[in-house]
Amino acid sequence: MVKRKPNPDDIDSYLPLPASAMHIIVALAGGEKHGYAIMRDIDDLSGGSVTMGPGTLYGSIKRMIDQGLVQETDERPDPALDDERRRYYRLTALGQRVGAAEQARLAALLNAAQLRKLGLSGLT
Amino acid sequence: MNLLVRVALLAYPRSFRRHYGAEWTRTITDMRTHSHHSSVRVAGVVVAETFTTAVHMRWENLMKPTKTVLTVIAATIAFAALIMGSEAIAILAFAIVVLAGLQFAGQDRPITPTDPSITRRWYFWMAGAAGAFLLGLGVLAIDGGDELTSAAWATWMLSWATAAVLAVIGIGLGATRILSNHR
Repeated sequence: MVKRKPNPDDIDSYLPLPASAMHIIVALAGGEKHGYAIMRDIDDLSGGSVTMGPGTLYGSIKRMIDQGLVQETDERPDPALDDERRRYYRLTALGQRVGAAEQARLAALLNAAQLRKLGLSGLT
Repeated sequence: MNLLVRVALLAYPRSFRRHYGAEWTRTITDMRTHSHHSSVRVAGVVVAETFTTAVHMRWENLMKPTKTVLTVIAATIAFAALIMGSEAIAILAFAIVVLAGLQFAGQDRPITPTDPSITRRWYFWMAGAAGAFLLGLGVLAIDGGDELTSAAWATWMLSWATAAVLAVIGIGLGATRILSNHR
């Protein structure tokens, strides 16, 4: 599948999102988080089946910041309790729209799989 | 472990190290102290990402400025070889392979979580290394006079250099797999 260059005026140009990017979007949909919290959330959301290492995580975050899907925040919950090396990230409005579009795309795919009884045929 | 982390960080591009290095290191510390993964498992993830994510970033960084230059050079060589005709068919084929590779490398492919199947196939790399080594031996056996011809010398050098690179990758992936499986 050849992907177009992402264009903020055309949400579909971001789709399909890489699995790692969608995992990060879902993790950040619950509010801003630092890198390790995102990683832990992804581990929990996937039931441990997706282990995202720090290189993959920050590589993906860097790309998503470049694309305008995620941004670093200046606010910190409590500087006294936090390590200054940690940065916090949140979804941008574009990131939320792209996440919603990817959710709709995946839902349509799941719907098609259910209509064709993919699960049942896989059991026989 | 601290030494491993510092060395692994060097595998990433400088821009990444400057911006995310401290946070990357902090996250590994968090993984070791707060997650249910053992230190050996965390070390396995760090090493695996050195072979996948860090190499991926380095490659992308390398291709960004040089892609256009390399494409023009390869296209010029291909055009010249095409004009020269059948004598330069090998050069033409090589230039086409380089051009195709550049197109593939130019795609902004996403960084994905380390796939365990990459390390699972470590023995493919070792088999490739053995094949390349045997090819070099074959050249020595066939053209094993006092002095190799230039073509034989080039083939021998290329095959053993390839064998060395494939073996290093295979050993690295194998070691990563052992570390990853050890919990």
